[in-house]
Amino acid sequence: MAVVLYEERRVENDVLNGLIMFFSGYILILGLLTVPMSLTGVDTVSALFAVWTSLGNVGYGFGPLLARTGTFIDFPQGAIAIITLAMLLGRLGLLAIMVILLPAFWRR
Amino acid sequence: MTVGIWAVLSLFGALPFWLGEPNLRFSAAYFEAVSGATTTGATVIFGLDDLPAGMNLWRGMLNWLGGIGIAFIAMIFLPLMRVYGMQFFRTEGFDTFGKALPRARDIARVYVLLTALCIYAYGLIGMSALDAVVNGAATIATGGFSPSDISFQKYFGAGGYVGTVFMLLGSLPYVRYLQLVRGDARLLWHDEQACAYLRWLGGAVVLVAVWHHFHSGMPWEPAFREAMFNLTSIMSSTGFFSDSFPAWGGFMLIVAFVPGMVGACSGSSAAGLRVFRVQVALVALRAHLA
Repeated sequence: MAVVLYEERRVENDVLNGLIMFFSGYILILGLLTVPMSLTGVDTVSALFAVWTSLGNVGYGFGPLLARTGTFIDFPQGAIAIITLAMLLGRLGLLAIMVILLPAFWRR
Repeated sequence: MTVGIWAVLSLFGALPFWLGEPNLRFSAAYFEAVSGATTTGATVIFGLDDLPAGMNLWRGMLNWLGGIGIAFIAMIFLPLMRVYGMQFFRTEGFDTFGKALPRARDIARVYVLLTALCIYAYGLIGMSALDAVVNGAATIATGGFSPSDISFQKYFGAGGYVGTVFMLLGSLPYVRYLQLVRGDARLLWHDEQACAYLRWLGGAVVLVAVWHHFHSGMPWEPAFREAMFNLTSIMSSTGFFSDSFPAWGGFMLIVAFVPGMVGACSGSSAAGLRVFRVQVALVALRAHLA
């Protein structure tokens, strides 16, 4: 197993694992939320960038739906709910919320 | 627990939007409050300039409180929890560990000082008192709620440069400021994360500015100013925008996607994957390929 160094300190395996979990969770959720987003009738570019902007807590709007006002006012209700969820997910760390969704958490 | 706090606080934060002037539907009001408390800065209110001053002040406060809340959590609680690789920060720079309260007070001091400086600077470039306070709170929180529909366009010119500086200040690791105050400036300049953050951001700005200069014939100075302000706003997860930048499209959109994913430094009020994680992942990747 190769040694990973950061700022001249060894990065332990559990750190690396947590990191990779976060990475995959982030990208997975970006993709997963874009699907229901486009199902609400939002065009592809607006849907992808809406999830991107809310998951990263960026708040920057790109896409045809935002071009008119620069706000999310033209998004349908369902899309607004998904964006709200994505913002909470992105802010509080994904795992904390995903843990609650796991059945194992409730069985304990 | 933190999940509960944010969800419930946002519920409380949504009440004014729901009952008050903008007369939003409940889902929209909750969206606005979550957007504020998570320092996202996306809005569903059009006609911000005509809102009562109190409502814009409330939006600024939500941003500001959300920002300081996440700074506390990122610096005090997350390293304790064994998740996301944040335990790496447990030893580094956390010499006062176990003394959560004095640390929280230090962070709060830095945060308040930065906000005051930012508001003052905005006042100097000619913002009205309300605009300076709301924009200042939203800048340091890397929130991005602006009291105007056209966001920073209103102050363009000097506002672009001042805004960029303070967005950057709000998205660097706060621990370094504490060390700076204690007289150790070297640690900030030698912070690998902060250096990589500025390097990557600079790279993206140059790419987009040069492309736009040749693509649309915009002169160098405004092209650079626009690219710098807007890309900083994206990478620091703030969300202010200015002028035609969102409509530049094409190459810019593809370049902007990456900084938005990466986000800013761990240990600040910003969000995203964080520079630290991307750096470690790259190092790990290289180590495995070699």
